[in-house]
Amino acid sequence: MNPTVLLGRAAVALLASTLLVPSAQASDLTLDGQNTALVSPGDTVQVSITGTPGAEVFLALDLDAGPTNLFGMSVPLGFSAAFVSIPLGPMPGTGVLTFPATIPLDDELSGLDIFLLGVVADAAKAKDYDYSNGATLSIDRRDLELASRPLASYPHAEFVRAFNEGTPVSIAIDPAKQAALSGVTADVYITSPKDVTGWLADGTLIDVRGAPTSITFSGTDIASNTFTVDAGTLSADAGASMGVGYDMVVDTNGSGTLDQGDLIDGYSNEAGFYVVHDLTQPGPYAVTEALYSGGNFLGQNLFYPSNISELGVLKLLVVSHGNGHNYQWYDHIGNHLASYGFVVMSHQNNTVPGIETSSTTTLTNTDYFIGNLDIIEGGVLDGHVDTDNIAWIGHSRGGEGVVRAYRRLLTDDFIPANYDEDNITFVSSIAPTVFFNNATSNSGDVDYHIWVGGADSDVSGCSSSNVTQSFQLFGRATERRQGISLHGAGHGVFHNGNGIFAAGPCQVNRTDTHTIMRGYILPLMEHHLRGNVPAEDFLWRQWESLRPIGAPDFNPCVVVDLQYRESSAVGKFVIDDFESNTGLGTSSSGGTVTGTVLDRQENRWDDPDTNFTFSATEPFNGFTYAGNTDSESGTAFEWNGGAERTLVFNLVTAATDATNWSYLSFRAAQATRDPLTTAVLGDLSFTVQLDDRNGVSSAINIGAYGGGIEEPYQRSGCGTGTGWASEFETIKIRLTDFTHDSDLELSNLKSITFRFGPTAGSNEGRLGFDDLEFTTE
Amino acid sequence: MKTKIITSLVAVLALAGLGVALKPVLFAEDGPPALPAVLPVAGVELLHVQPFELGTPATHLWRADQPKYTTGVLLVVGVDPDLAHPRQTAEPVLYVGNQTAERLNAGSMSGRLVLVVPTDGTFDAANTPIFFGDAQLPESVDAQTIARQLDLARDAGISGPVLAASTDTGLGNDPVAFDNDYQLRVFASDLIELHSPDEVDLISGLRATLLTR
Repeated sequence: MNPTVLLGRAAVALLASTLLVPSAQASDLTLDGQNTALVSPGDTVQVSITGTPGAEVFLALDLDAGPTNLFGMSVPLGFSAAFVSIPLGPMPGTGVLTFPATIPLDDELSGLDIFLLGVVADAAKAKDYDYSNGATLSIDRRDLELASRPLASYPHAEFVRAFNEGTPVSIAIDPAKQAALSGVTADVYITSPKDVTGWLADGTLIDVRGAPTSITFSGTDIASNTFTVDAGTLSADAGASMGVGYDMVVDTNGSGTLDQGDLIDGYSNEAGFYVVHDLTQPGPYAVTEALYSGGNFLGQNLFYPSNISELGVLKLLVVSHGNGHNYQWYDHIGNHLASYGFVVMSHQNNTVPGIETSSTTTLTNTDYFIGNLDIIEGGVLDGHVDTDNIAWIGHSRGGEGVVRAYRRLLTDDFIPANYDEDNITFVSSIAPTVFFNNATSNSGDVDYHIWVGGADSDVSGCSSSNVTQSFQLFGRATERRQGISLHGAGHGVFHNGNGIFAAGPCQVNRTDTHTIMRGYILPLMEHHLRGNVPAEDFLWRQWESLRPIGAPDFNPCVVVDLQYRESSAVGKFVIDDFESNTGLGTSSSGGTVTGTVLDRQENRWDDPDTNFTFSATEPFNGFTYAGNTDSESGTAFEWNGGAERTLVFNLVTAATDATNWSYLSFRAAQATRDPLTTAVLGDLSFTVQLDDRNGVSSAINIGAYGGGIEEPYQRSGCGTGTGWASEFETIKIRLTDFTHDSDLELSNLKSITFRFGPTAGSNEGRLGFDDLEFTTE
Repeated sequence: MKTKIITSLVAVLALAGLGVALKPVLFAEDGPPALPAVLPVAGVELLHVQPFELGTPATHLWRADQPKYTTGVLLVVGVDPDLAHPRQTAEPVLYVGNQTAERLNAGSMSGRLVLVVPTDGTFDAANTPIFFGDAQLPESVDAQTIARQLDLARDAGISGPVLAASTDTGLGNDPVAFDNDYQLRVFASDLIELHSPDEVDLISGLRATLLTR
């Protein structure tokens, strides 16, 4: 594009920014208080000019820094063909004119250095004009989303961070956002990743495949601008980590260098996308296993990389077994994680007396391990274990025990010699019991995770007892929490010892369960302990969209549901969590809620009786995320009869500008044994619609990403009928997906509408719905 | 040496078929077996008694008040495997007179349990009721509960254990002395191996090499 046109576009935007500000003693020009500023499209910079009050002020822009001799004066501007002058009005009485200038979201501006000069028309001066110092506004480029996977229906492409090895990688361009690319033939590069500093130091484009892909973009729509750029050839060999990072660059001018007008996915400290190997397979390290004891109930089964002395400081996972289980029954976890450079210690757990004793042995074994690294295995681990970021995982009574242990650290009920609550980064429970109430077994704000098997016949999930409703612990986690539900998995298949303890159809055996566990626990630990970026995709993208390569797809009984709720510390806006403003007409954020869905009620996620038998008077039948000491709440509703039904969340002012958020996130669950659920057993779908204040709407059917809301596991018992506890699944939709081929303004949203019925998805259904949020990447 | 003598004795008794016969029980694939509608229940058979002393007081974590103890008995009892079956939900608490028993092994396949029971240095093997009481977490059982469960047991006619003809009441045995409860459990692992040999991981776990400074 012509530089003058470009500069003019920037100038117009800068001018527009001045219209609402008051106009300005001598002439100094600063950008954010400095002579130079580095900004990105979309950023705002404070421009400040000083001069004589009442004098007319102008801001001159050029792509040429000068200087130019003007009337005998050296002026710091080039006055090239790109020169633009913006009148800013009279200088205020203060002698300082300051205004914010927002850089347009125009990637064509990327890489430009714009030189600015303040000009004050001072009648007292002989030459009428007082020129300021020069200032430089450097416009950096934006990190865009380009790497994608195509979708069969709108939004037609999903921008993701993780691709499994061997699967195609596509590029998607929305012509509505990148109009300048229409008709352009460009080279698409896949490069090794660099951070911003790296790209600024050397913009040379080197394609890891040997050569870039030449693509001609059109102005039609995003579907016709989605192209496969790699058929699945990219390396995923990340060694002891997961995910090989790549950046994707559209070289619009064929320069072979990242320069002005080029687009890039990965212009940040993170790669644009990652290719991930089969997470179910072992990592590169040989593993050493050891069995030793520090005394009574200090028996420990240790797994670590045999070459640990060469590996620096490694993260630690502590495993606390369940009742009647044994600490030597978690080899599948220990061997797998140790082969990827983790240290795993599984300990003797005193579960038979109860949860308090179990929590004590989690606490004491962790303390013993940290305090005795100099003698364990001859001291080979000493100095090689990161004791600041420890993960605990417990099974059944041990699963509640780790939660109780963390609570005891929080309340100083137990004070270890070698660590405290700040050293525990992550807590995970496998099929946990819930003997204790909310105040006692509560993981608080630590990152929490739960595994639940639908066929568990021990901690069964039936509402007959709080003890067996594992999800109650999940409901008590106040911050980031994740869940994985495995239909058909019994209680004992999570360990490798005796007993399956399963009931229900289509059971998943221990081999397949362990394969799923290996493929899931690696990203779980990678994400929470190592901050691995692509690992997060495996924790929330629906199983149908992304799962480990070695997942037992050959087994039709394998059904996996994932839940993921982001931490407020990371940043999010909670539109409605149904914990406050519990009237039907107001969301927890204070917006009005309307709609035509039927039998809508808000309440605690607590099945009111002791069975899952359907009852029209039990709108929360089958939901087991809360007990009588819990507050975890949500809304349940239904639709049928062919008419489209809606549920509308009007956004409060603080939520109308969603441009700072990355995703719309919520969770939903089919209500078990409800006739509207059993009418059609299968994934349930509906449509999510965003409306802006300009009257523009954009709608996405959740099924577009490959899966809907799963039907409950078809297990009988716990009353009459078929269908086990209602399991939530989280749906996260990238907000910009709603802008594909659309003029929807995310900066000016009005409402979120959920649409149900044959024109929007499934004909009928009854849903539990919760945790509606805007979240970050 | 004392350990070997005792385990050998028990082995001889077991091999002679004088103890409770091993009851092969496959792990239930459909969940833990149902519990009796009414507890306490009788039927616990006493097979072996071994008094012990500890040099370092240990804590009995199987009741709410968590008393310290230095004397007690190791018992081997024959039980209904269904009652002993490990479950994550509340299990029937095993009482020995006015004390809760610490169960060192699962016993759900063998029908044999090895127990640690703190005592005041005396133990009346013939007249101390041994019974499964109401299901709950032992760590929550207080003295009142124990008294109530004992009354219920006596009301149910449980006045003492079933004494097998071969029962070695241990009354004539000298207490075995251990420095601490860790050593007690290592000793007990021999009894578990003898009476519940399928519990190999438990046994090897109890015998794991002790680290010392």
